[in-house]
Amino acid sequence: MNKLIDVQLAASVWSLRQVLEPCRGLSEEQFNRPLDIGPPPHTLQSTLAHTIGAMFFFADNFDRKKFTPPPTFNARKTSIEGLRSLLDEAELALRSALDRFLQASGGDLDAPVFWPFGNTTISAAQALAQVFDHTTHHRVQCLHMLKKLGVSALPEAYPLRWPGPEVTRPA
Amino acid sequence: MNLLLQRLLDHNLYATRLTLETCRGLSADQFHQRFEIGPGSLHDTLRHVVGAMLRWSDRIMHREVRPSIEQPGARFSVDDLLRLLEQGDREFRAAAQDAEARLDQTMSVQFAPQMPVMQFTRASALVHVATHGAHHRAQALNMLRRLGVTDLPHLDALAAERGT
Repeated sequence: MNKLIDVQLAASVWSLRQVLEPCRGLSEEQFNRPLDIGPPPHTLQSTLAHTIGAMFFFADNFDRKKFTPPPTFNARKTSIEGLRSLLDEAELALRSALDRFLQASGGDLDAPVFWPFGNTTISAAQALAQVFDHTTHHRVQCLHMLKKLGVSALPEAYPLRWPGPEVTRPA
Repeated sequence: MNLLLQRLLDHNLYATRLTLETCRGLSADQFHQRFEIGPGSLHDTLRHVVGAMLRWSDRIMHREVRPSIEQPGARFSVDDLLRLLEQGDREFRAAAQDAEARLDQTMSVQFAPQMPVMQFTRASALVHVATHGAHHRAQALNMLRRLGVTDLPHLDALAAERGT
């Protein structure tokens, strides 16, 4: 896989895992409390579920398949453990779909991808930009929600922190 | 340049420009109003996005990092920030193009004198800057909404494709 796609995907998923970790310290009420940010119903749970669910959607787009969420998605998306395992599966699904797509297109990032929203076709590079922008956008909302819920030690979920402790958030 | 990186940078330029343009409709007080999110105000958040593009261009090109535009009290107009954004975009694209052949090469950066020297690959640095703007634009959108702006700009990467 293209080196930049590989790093971008790994860093993006790692950052989302960092956001899931402090959720373990929240009560169920806090995890499901509506806040003034994020997709409806504006809770940490719904924002995380939306972000991870979109990764399955993106994977199916690259596989040129009609989007079908995993059968147990709705049952598992309500708990932190369920979301963690869904994220693992979503990463695998997206990585595998990208590998297949890039293999079929000879690595051409200008190759077309059908995008059901808007019923349009876009380039693979544009689709990837949307994948990474989407996750980053909602991850920031989750960080803000954690702050509003009183979590003071927020995770440093930046690509430079990936993959290890030797790297620190930039000034 | 790698087409993915090109698209990410196209999107960063488009979406940051559009966020700044939306700020034209605000009063000076609103542009500088403090919020408990991100760098603290729309002005400071957008200044930070642009400032990061400039200093990361220096870091990736292994140049001495220029004085930060984020000095306390340094105020910029929307037009000033738009000009700096164009400059940051040009300089970062040149740095990215230069770094592309050395993605696995390790960079060493000391973010502040009291901090240890940090190491990461040029690929991680490029990925960081390519998504850094998206991170802070999400904060800016929240501030705009809280200031009563109802017609929020569509900043996603697909909107960028349609808008350019």
